[in-house]
Amino acid sequence: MVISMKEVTTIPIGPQHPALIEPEYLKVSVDGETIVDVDINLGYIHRGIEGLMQKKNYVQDIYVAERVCGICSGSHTVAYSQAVENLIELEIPERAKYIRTIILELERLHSHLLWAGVAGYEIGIDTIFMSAWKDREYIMDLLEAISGNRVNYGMSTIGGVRRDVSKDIVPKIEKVMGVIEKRADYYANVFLSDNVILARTKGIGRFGHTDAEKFSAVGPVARACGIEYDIRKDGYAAYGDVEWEPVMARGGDVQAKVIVRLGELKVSASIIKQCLSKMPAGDIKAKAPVAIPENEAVSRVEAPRGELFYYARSNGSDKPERVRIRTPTYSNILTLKPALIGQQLADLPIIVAAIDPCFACTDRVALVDTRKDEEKVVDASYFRKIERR
Amino acid sequence: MDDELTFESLGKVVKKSKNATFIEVDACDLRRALTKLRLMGVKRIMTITGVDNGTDIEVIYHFDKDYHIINIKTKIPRKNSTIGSITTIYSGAKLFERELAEMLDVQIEGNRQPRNLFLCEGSPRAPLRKKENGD
Repeated sequence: MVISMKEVTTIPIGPQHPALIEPEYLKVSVDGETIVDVDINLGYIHRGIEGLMQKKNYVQDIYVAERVCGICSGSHTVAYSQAVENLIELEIPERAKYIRTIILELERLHSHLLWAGVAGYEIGIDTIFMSAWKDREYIMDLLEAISGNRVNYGMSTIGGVRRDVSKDIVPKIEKVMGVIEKRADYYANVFLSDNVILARTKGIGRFGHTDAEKFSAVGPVARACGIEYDIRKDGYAAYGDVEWEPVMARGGDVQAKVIVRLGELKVSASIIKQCLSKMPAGDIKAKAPVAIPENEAVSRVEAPRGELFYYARSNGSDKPERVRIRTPTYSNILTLKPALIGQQLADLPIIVAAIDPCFACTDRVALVDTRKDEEKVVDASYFRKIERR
Repeated sequence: MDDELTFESLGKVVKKSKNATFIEVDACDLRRALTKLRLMGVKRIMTITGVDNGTDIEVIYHFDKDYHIINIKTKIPRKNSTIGSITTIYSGAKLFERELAEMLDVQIEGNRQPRNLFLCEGSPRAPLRKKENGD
């Protein structure tokens, strides 16, 4: 007699887990090794930044926006600055637009290289991790040479940029771009020909065009499903003056996302080279008023992870009435569910990493008592209490 | 039919710039306007913004059409704020509606709140609502 018994086990993954780079909590239901359901718990990054921005003035808010994300800090400052410039209908100098474009593309390069390294690490090939992060250092050095900083560049401001790109550094940037183009080809060859990598990426975490549209996916996640949606086509900063095409793929699996991101390395290098040759001389900043009359405006930037959206409303004072931020991961997070269901549990880290999720520091923790199957959310005082015991 | 599918047919166009259009609709007309927007080929919602302006709660739905941002604005009262869910038209709005409910204490009819999305226990209730003294 054959007894068939289907048993579903629930496994809590996170908020702190060796397979996850940042805190998040996935409650995964598995039948054997196959994922049958997943409950995604957000909130470990919540720092009340939108509320904080209402209490600071427009200039201070540039630095608050910069600290939303440690990887796409440049995208946040440009999106915020553009929103405020739209509020006062301020046209920024042409040279500032080119400098913003160069910074944004350098940021995309270092973010995609960081992602390639993490992807290698998640599938157990640490050589890729070390190699990609070594190449990323060339970009970090350039960002430091231009802005003086590696993470929060402090470049974009309301009305333009705070620092110029000097002539002396141009040959160095061009040289690094040549290196990156070659390395992009190398990584594409490795990711698309190595049998172990193919086994962990091809057909894994697949979800379709319809799901991507349904859940409003953005950035490389959407483009990997064949949706041609790249905010740079809007022509903000200097994107309207340079020639480039979005990198597209089909299938929506991990491999498609690899193809898009590695393809974008070459596109970014090409955009930077074009900007360097076309960049006009002149001012880098237009004068902006301190107080802003009542108005409302929106702004978008194609951050490395996709569309980054800002809404700003002014009330006549030096502080905004409301700033709304919609980061790309917030849009992409819903696609994790169709991507994970039906997959093997061992593929979870790479499927999660494939959307390149961006969660920041945790401000609270959820505890799961697996024996009692209870879940409770606690704050810092709870830990202080148990520390004293 | 195509002639009717213009921004003006959705509601009152209050502001138009190079990259964005702001349209005001009554809360009771919201579903009709968004259904029309869907027929215009707008398949994805970008986000939802809630603003407490001191007298009303403004809810702004942001959409993209060919790299042009369409902002559909509606107002609901500050007391017993309730708005219908739009997830049957735009399923991508699920989390944005939950965030709106959490941050501004707006009841979303038709979108279940199994737990808080961002705020932990002990957080201030509806942190983006203005205090009664106008803070």
